[in-house]
Amino acid sequence: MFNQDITPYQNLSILVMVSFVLQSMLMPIMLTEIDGPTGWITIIIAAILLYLPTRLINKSMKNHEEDTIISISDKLFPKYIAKAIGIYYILMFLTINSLLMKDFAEQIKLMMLFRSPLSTIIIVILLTASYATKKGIQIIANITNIALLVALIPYLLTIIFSTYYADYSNIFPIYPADIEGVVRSIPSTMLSFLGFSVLMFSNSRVSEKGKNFRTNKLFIIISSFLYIGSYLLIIVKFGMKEAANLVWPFVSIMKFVNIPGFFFESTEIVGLCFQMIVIFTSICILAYFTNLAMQETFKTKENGYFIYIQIPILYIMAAALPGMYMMFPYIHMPIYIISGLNFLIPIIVAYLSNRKRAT
Amino acid sequence: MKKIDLKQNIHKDLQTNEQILRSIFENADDIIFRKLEAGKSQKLKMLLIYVDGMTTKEAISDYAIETILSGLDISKIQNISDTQLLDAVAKSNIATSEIQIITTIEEIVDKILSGETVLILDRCIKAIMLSSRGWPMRGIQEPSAETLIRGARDGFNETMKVNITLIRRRLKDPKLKVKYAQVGKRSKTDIAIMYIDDIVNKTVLETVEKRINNIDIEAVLESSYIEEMIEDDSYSPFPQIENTERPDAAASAILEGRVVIAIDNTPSVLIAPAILVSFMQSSEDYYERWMPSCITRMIRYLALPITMLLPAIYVAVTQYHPNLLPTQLALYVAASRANVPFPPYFEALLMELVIELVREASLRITGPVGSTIGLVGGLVIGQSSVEAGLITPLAVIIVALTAIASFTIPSYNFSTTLRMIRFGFIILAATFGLFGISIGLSFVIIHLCTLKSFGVPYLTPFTSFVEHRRDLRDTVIRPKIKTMVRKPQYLHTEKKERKNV
Repeated sequence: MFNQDITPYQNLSILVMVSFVLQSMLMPIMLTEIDGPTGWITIIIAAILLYLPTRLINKSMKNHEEDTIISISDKLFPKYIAKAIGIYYILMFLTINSLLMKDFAEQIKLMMLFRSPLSTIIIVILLTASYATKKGIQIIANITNIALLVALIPYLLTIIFSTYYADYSNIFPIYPADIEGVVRSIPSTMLSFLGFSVLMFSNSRVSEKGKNFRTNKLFIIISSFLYIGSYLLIIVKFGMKEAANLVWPFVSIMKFVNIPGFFFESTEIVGLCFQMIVIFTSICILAYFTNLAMQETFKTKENGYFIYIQIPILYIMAAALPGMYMMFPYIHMPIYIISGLNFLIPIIVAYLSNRKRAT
Repeated sequence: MKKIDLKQNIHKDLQTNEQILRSIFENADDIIFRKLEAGKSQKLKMLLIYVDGMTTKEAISDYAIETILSGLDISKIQNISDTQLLDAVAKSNIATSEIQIITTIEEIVDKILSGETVLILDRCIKAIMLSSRGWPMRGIQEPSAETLIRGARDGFNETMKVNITLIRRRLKDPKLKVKYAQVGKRSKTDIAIMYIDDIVNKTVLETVEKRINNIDIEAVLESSYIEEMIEDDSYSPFPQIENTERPDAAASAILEGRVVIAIDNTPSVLIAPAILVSFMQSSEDYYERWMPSCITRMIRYLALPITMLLPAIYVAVTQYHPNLLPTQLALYVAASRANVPFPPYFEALLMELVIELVREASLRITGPVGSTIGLVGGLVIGQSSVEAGLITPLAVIIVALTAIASFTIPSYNFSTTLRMIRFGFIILAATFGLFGISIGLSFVIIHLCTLKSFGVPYLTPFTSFVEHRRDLRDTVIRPKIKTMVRKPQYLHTEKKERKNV
């Protein structure tokens, strides 16, 4: 009756939330890659491309309802390949989470706590996130839904008020489109649909697994709309040239929020408070799925205590890595590799799993 | 003192029984032992035992002593067994409404201490319990903590049976079940678990019963004892079981499919399960027209963050983020703070402490003195502190607004929790500004997400708003009663609809 798994729509919230955060973080890459306001084409192509492995993996998960991509791999491949896949996912989640944390901590330092050391901010975020992560998937799902209600929706609604004095002609010209730029930015756009990698794990924890494919499709559609909406909003507000130079486009856009009669002057700080809850939730989600990936890879009964292993790793990574904006010129190749692996691993696993079932 | 085995059976010899009971009730002068000898030609010895002050003496003298002494003719029932003798006395010579045959010394002791009268007959290994409970009790009054403009004026009192009656009067349904239990090794407090059989979720009911039966405690002096023993997380500052003194609120909860636990000697009955939303609702929401009730509820939900966060926001904004304020206000704040010796966090903590002191003092001293303390505290201390340059006028406004907001939350224990949490938020705001508030808020949200009340997530329906979208209608707004056709989905009740009963 009172199920311990998450509901299909809680799964959807997790996927949308984590993707939205990464999309806003990786938006500048797309803005700088394409010469012209045609990033939305990239988003549509990336969404269509992601639909294929989503369909395949859902088909194979019908036979492995309780399994994640790692445990399916374990049944299909030799142990060392399954372990390698597990370690890949662990490292990917850890890297993205540490980057997210670093980016988030830098935003807070720059806009709120000028005199506090970055490491203190990171530790505080980590400790709070670890408290949530230890509680398990249902709590993470509950937090996500609350964050969606109290932060993401008000945040998105507030952003709408930034469209005063927007120049809608900025979304043109569509032709001639920078086809090369569009193609080049597909990997980073695909990577920013991080929910796609998360669903490889979260689908196995859903109470009504029959609805997984539907919610996964909905995730791709909703995330695409959010991504396109955010992209166009930044373009119409700043124009391509200015937008390409923005480090944190969403924070920048919050400066221009103009709500009649709004009391606070620095709206970006109010926006940052909402954003903080959204990003914090995403950190918890990623930390939980890293735990789960660790559990599946190392075959342990529990996963809660893995957070104690994650805390020092995440702290060192977040402290050592430079900020995202400083890394942009150097991360093209890693993004191509990670995005390619994220795309290919599910396809290969699903293909082999489906073939094995057929034989 | 010699240890007496309470489990032993009643002896055939009346004198032995009397000796045992007298040694059990040694130095208990309120226990009355009344010896009787009934019968005309032949005499039958009897012993009547009761607690002075816990029984209605009229019931004992009119319906037991008088009828036995005047009506019992031992010669007619001379050659019958002791069991038949007991039956004959019970059936023909006792006129009280309820009797019970008991067999052990322990039962005798329990019944006597519960206010019943026990009649022991010579030559019988059984005794008769005569219903005679009656003690001075408070009348049915309106609960002072849950007053309404529109709605019933009756409230529970300290007698459990009266409280059950008040609920039964509202729900004349044969499916309304009342299960008795007794908790407390020494207090032997009576507890009644009330529910409607074809509505209540059986898992919740079983959990409630199991937890109550597992309580091992010396005495239960208030419902809070039971609350603390059966709630899911006793370390949480948030209440997980609702309590009310209003019979209409209890009846409404039973109709929703929840379980009501009435406890003897307290007017507070417990309602389980309880979620955050239930602490934000008042009975009056459903007694007034739906549209004003919607506004009232929205105001209440607005009061929730004000109660919890406003002083912390004041500290964060004045100390860390003055650039958030409009220029004129920022200048005013800076000017008013120029002569104040304390930092904003200290100012806020000080004022909050004063408010809590005033509140506590006025609670302890009721009546005109209490309200005088409130006035003196609120007006004189606030005004004088500002004039003395100890605090800013803005801080007084903030603290007063927070205190008023906390009073709008219908549940006293829930608003107390919010008030206490507020201090934590002030400290976090003083340390990390708005970031600290966000971190604190995250902690609170995480904690609330982990909380459950008898298996029901505390933040339902917000945590699963798509699945429980129907329940969302009766949260921040109050829907029309006509449209409330289904029972709350989150309770997983047996019967789902409110109509077609």
